[in-house]
Amino acid sequence: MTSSVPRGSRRRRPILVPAVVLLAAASLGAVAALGGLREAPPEKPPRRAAGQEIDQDVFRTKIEDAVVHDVAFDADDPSAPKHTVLDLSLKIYNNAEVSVPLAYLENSLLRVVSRDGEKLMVPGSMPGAGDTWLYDTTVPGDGAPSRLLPPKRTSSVVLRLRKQSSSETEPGADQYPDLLDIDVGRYENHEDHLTGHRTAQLVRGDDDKPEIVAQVTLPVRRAA
Amino acid sequence: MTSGGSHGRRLLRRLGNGAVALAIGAAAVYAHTFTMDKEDLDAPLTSRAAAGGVASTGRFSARLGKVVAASSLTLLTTGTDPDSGHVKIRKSTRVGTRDVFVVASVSATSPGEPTRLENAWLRTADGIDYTATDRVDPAFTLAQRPVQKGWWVDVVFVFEVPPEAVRGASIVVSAPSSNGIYDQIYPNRYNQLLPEAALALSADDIDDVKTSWQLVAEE
Repeated sequence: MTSSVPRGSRRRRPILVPAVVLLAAASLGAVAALGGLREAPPEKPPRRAAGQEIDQDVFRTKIEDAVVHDVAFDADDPSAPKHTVLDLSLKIYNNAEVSVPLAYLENSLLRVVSRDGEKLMVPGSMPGAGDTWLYDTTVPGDGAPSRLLPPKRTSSVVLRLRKQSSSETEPGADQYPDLLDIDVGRYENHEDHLTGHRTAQLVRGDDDKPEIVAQVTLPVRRAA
Repeated sequence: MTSGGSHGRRLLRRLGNGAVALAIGAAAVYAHTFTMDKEDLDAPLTSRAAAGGVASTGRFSARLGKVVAASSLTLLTTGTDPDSGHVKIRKSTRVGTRDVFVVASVSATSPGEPTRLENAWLRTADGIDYTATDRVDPAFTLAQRPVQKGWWVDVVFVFEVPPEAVRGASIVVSAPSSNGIYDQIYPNRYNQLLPEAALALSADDIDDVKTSWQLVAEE
């Protein structure tokens, strides 16, 4: 009658607290082993060599070649004065079901820079006095160029860059870069939350900047 | 009045009610096959016309006229000589293609407000749209002429397409959105459900591919 504890019942061991402590220690160890709680370095976008295919959803793009050469002002007249240009050759397969204006391609070339960081094209900006580079994208054709990419076909596109100088003398080939770094973006089918209307828009990251899906480093040839 | 007969009638009524409920349920499930999917809801309102017929949307009517297939185009700019009064050729450009140019003349009129046939496509049988080519200057096609009430205006559209795309294709023309200020604030945002006219190409229009076709612009 001294104790209300029934006979035969075993004494309970305090197991919960040691177990939690052990688990916490193990997870702390695991976190430390995997590199701690610091933010992981951002993943580098994949690199592509010249001529490799890049999937941009709307386009499948191959950046083939870059060449600096002299072209005549007027293509019909070979005796016309010449100027130096940098021609970037691309092969674009338009995966959409409708012809797409080349502006979509220009906007997806997020960064075209030389090795020392000079920007060679800023899509969407008007060429002004401050710009030192002019660009024009065409699908060359017999008699007249086109600025449309026909659907479900591969087109040969030429992105022509020309250095504009404030001085009288035309910049020579030695003022053109030897190496180009090109960042390429990707499109997605974006649905407007208000109207449900769908358009192709560049994929944007958390910082609202277009995401880079491929980086291409391209040597620039000098035509003889 | 026997209890057996009353039971039987109740059972029969229950069975009948069950059958009606099942039928209504089945009909409701079946009715879901009529709902439009996203693609249909976004699709433009297309009025179709057989070869040579008139397609009427609420905002404009269109009819396909002469259609020519050619492997190259000669673009002539003409001007009248002020001294002699003769028409002279000022400039001539040849535009070639590895594919085929389809030069389609479209007549159009509007029942009310004037409009323009801003966009034109050659739509293949499997639904691929080739936009009218930009290799021919609008001066040669007058594609942006206003389409107005009271008479039929002829405009020309030139398409550059692979030869195999032409069979079973139609020419699709559409007027711009008329949402006024909303189009200025959000261009292209509210342009779903635009009226468009699909004008079927007839097979004999394009069987014969000419080596060259001439388009003239007066200066």
